[in-house]
Amino acid sequence: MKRITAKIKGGKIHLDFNGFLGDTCLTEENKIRVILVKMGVKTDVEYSDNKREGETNGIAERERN
Amino acid sequence: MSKIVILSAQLAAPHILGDLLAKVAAQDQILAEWIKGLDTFPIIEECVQNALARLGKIEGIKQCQDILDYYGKAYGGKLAGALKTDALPNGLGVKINEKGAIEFVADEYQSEWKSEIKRLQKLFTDAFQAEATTAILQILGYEVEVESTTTEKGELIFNLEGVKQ
Repeated sequence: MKRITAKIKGGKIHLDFNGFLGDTCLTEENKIRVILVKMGVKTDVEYSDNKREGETNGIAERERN
Repeated sequence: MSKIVILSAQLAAPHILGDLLAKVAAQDQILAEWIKGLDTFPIIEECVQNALARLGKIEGIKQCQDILDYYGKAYGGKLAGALKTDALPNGLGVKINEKGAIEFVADEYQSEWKSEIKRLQKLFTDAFQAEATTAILQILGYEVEVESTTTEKGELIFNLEGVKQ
């Protein structure tokens, strides 16, 4: 199952991709961004980080620290 | 692999982002062509209406159709809708121009109106971005649930979850 959570606050869109195989989450991110721009939402990537496979259960190591 | 991405987002005129579309095309040519030809104007209109309706349900904010200037004269242009509060009784208008870009209209003659106009613009921008993201996830085949909460500071936070089998 693929899950995307988005938190929108203060002019920022925080996207969290889970359950994607290989680099398909990058493809999905590109699809979302290209349609956002077509809808008049200009986006710049402020932060991007691939989670390691062991973190994909939703408990990211950085969140535990 | 999973990923976290934080995008800084602003409203602008709709356009095609060629390099991103090329990356999509490398993976899915048919989808890229479909996105290229997608008429987003009706989706933008629907998202604007949904954003206005969502903000109109917040205590202290009223959704309406017209705005007034300082002298009480109604704005003559076409508006998608408007928002009024006690601090901005003449209202903030939202319009979609011929290029599909969202514009705001208001009389900011009184200094106290200016801060309220900025606050409402920020609230609307976040609400619109949440509606746009929801619409896109639905277009991409996700089942989407949306929750919005208001912080003690009056900030609005939208949490979306899209799931696809």
